[in-house]
Amino acid sequence: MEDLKKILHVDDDEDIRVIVKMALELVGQFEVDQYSSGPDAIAGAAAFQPQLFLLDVMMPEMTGEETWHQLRQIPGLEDVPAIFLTAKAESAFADRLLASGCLAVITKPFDPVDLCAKLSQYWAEFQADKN
Amino acid sequence: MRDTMFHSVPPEITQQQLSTILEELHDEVYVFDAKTLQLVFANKTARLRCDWKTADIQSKKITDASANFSAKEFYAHVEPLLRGETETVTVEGMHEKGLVEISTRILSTWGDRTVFVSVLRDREHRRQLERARTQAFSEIVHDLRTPLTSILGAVKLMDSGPIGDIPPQAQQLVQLIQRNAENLLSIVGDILDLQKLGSQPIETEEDKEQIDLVELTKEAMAAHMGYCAVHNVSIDLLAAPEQAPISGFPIRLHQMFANLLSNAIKNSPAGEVVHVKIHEKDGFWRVAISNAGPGIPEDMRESIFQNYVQGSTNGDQRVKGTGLGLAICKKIVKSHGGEIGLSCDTGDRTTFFVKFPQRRTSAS
Repeated sequence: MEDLKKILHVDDDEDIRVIVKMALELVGQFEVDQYSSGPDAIAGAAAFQPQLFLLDVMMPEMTGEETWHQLRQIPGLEDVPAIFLTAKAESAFADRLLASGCLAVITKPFDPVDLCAKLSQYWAEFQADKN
Repeated sequence: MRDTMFHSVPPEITQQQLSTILEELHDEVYVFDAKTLQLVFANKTARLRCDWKTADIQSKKITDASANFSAKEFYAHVEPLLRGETETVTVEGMHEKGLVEISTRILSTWGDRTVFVSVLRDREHRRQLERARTQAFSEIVHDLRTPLTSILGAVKLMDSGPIGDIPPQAQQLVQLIQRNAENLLSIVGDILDLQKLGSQPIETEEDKEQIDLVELTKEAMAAHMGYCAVHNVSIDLLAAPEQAPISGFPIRLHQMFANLLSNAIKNSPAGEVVHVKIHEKDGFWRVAISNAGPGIPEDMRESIFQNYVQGSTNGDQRVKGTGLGLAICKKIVKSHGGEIGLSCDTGDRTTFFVKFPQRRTSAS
């Protein structure tokens, strides 16, 4: 099974980016590439070659869903799965995101220490489904 | 004999003035013969929408007022009026102008002639306002949760080791920030819940499920074992029938139990036991949850189920709440046709109870 090492994270909130980066690097020992908007992520993703996208949903320029859609058009990233982070608490909203084929929807606020364990678990399930 | 709705009008108000009021109403008003559906009167708002002149009225029927009008459905709808079972029948539906509410009643009868009056009220505007309000709440909640995510995330990282040790006094401050941020988050969640329950109901009667209240209570108790451990309190089901069937919304009932059980647990002195009992009484299943502790002051027992009223007055930081939990419980219980109440008269214990109508099973 392929280990999860490289995660591309997009969130327009600078403070959330600090927390997520610290958690993923210090707790999970992951390599993290971060962007504050969908277009920036699309411009930088090919060079980083991430294994997983971690995307905020409500962003001003381009939503998380649109960003994922565009990221998957990049050659080599077609099959990279996404996990969404959202502060919208409505279950219908999460259901709609899950129906789009993402691995999971994590609701804010999330525990940064648990976040790494959750990402690893969803990644393991994704790998098991693939094989 | 002629019977009219204008009987008790004071003499200083003339028939002319009443007609003007009807004419100028923002609602559409139609007066028509029950048998032939021939129009007698349509006010200005109705004429404007239908693009009729006053002189057109006598050649029009109520069926001409809407392309969706079905005479067959209409007669079925007004049947209770004609049988004298009710004074007004109301229906809500989609119309050329959007969502409308139409109320119909008998205006007058003489001989075998019956005349109806129908009032068509625009609900579209209200629906749009409701949508805008829900959207605004959703955005406010989103905007509050985002900074709380940063605050809680930061303190969690500081408190749990990944960035190294912090001095004990700083750790105390970190815990203070964490506790208060969690309180704020709880308030945000409660506001969202209350808004949802206060607006159009999310679930309809058809969404109700057949539930065993005993099983659901046990599940809720099991879900609170961790919270009991934090407060060094235990929880016991002292009495329950084998089954207590009701119709309801499981998620809402779990939400109600989460409020009632967490209140009882956090208000119990350490080492005490929260008691849960389920009984049958007068066609209802009654669940009582009681805890030892300070109790609710007598002057607050009436208002405790209103928004932002907090029952505990002992100043203990542990028992702080949002003051919305019991208001949420009351709305949930009411949506099940039940009751919620409080009694503090059994020794030193405070008991909250909820009652739900029993669901008749084939065996009963």
